[in-house]
Formats: sequence, structure tokens, C-alpha cells
Amino acid sequence: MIVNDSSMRLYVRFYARIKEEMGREAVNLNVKGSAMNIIDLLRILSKDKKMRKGTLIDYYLQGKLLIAVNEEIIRRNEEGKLILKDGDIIDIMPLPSGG
Amino acid sequence: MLSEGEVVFTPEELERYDRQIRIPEFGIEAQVRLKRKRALIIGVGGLGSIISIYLTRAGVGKLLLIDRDKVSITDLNRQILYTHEDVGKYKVKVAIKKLSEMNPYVDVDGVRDEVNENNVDDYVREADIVIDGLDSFKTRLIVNDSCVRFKRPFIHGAVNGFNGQVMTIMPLKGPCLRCLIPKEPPEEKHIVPVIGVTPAIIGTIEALEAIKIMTGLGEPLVGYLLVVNGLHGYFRKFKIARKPNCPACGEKR
Repeated sequence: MIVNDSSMRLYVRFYARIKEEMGREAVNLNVKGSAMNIIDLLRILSKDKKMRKGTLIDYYLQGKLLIAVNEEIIRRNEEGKLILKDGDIIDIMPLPSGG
Repeated sequence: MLSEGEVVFTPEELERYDRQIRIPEFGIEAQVRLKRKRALIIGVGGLGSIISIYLTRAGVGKLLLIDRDKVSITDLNRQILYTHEDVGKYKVKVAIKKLSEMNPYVDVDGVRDEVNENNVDDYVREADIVIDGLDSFKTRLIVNDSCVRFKRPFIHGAVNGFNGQVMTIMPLKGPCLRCLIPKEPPEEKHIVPVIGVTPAIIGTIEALEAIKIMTGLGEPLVGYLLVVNGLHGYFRKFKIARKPNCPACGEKR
């Protein structure tokens, strides 16, 4: 029998208001299993005790966040297609709107 | 149009630009190219103050400003074109006067107006380059779409608090603003907090990008989003891909 104990490490960095709300600048995540996309990651982060429940995923779905994986901005509405892999660096940034 | 005729500088004008003409990459050639250009700045607030001041001092040929607002006292922490006695006056009127005093060799004009779907093309069509001094993504996307239609370079900038971002759009050559933000996020319900240094940094980078494109120097931030984090003192460049199904610049548009 093959035991699937695969897990991956993700490094997530938070910016500006998101950093304040998460209470830290970055987090190292050890995630069990595989085939996780950005929405899954945001769901996990949205359960974080320090953050109001669901806020992060709500912000994202409202278009208030920019997310980059390995320093490339991921396309809106295509985030489901991008499967995260071990060692990925994810940046979560609020979208500034002022002028 | 300026680009049709010959560019003539007075001796005093050349002296005014002496220090930048001495930059080896710049020279008189870049100064001539700059004088042939018409730049459009939409919004003369925190970003627009900085962009207009630097383009005026650099010696762009013609500058057109659009803003519908009057100066308010809450603008004065960052909108450095205006002073205490300007409160209550129309921004565009004050800006034309101040910029013309800064450099009488630049043809500065302004319109008291709000850019929307109906009038945007009239403004963009007449410009060689468009620069973002706006405070809403709704209007930014309207301007972006028009810049794509007329293939005009568009420099995007935005700020919040100590943070900001810049992206340079060369329509059909690189991603446009809609490749990054397909649809506007909900209008910000709260007043956007900001300290003067942030639009100063972002506006200066926008002006630099505009000068690079107008003179053909260097490598503009096409295909990149430059994110500035003022409090932590770093700049980070993120790649942005062109979206094949982008509603503004994609194949099926």
C-alpha cells in the first residue's frame, strides 16, 4: 500500500492593510495533500484566528486584492487553474485606489 | 500639431534645460522629442500635482490637465500645486497659472470636466500620452479602454497610505489595465488615507515613465507592476501577462 503523506510548503507574504489585519508580515504554511489553488489557500488563510472570518476570501472575490505567485500577478478568474506547488512564494496585496 | 513643424528653442530655453541636456543618454535629441509631445494628465490631485510639475519643468511641448474639483483644505497635505489661499478655487485654473509660471515655454491648458465614456475619446485622441492622476478604478478603466482604442501609451499609478503602484501600458504590445483588473472593484466607501510622500514617490515614477516613453529612452515598466512599500522601504516588481481574453485588448475584442 502506498501511503500518501505528501505535503507542501508555501511562503505567503502580506502587504499593507492585509499585513495589519493578519497581524504579521508573512507566514510559512505546511499544507497536507496536493492540488491546491489560490482560492483554497485563501480559504485556509481566512480561517486564521487573527483575521475576521472569511475577510480575505471576500476581499479577493470583490476584486480588492492583487495576488502574485513567484512574483507574477495571477489572472483574475483563472486562479482556479493555477495549482500551487512546493516552495511557491505568494504575495497578497490590497489594491490601492487613491490619487 | 507640434510634431509637424520644426522645433525651435530660444537660447534662454536651452539654458533652462542645460542640466538634463548634459545627461549623455538625454542630450538635445531627447529635449526636441519632449517638446514635440502633448501629454494629457487626468486628475490634478496628489499624483497629478507631482506629474504636472515634473513634466512642465522637463519641458514637454503641451500639457492638458483635466479635473472637475475645487481645492479643499484636506488636499493640502499632498497636493503640492496648491497653497492655503487656493482653497475653494478650481484646481485646473490654479494649476495652469502655477505651471505656466514654473515654465513659460510649456503650453499648459486645462479643462474643468469629469472624464466619462462619452467624452474620454475626445481627450485621448488629441494626446500623445495619457497619465493617471485619478482616484477611482471606474474612471481608470474608461481611460484605459480609450487608450487601447487609440493605441496611446497610458501610465497608471495609485496610492493608499504609505503604499502605491505603477504600471506602464503600451496598448497591444503589453498588458493593459484590464488585463490586471478586468472589472472595477466596488467604490471605496471610506476616504482613502494617504500621506504626501506616497503620491510624491508614485507620481515621480509616473512622470519618469512618461519622459522615457516620450523620448524613447530606457525600458518602460511594460508588462510589470511596480509595487512600492514606503514603510518597509522596498520596491518590488511583479510580472503581468497579457490576457488573451481581455475585454479591452484581447483577441476577441
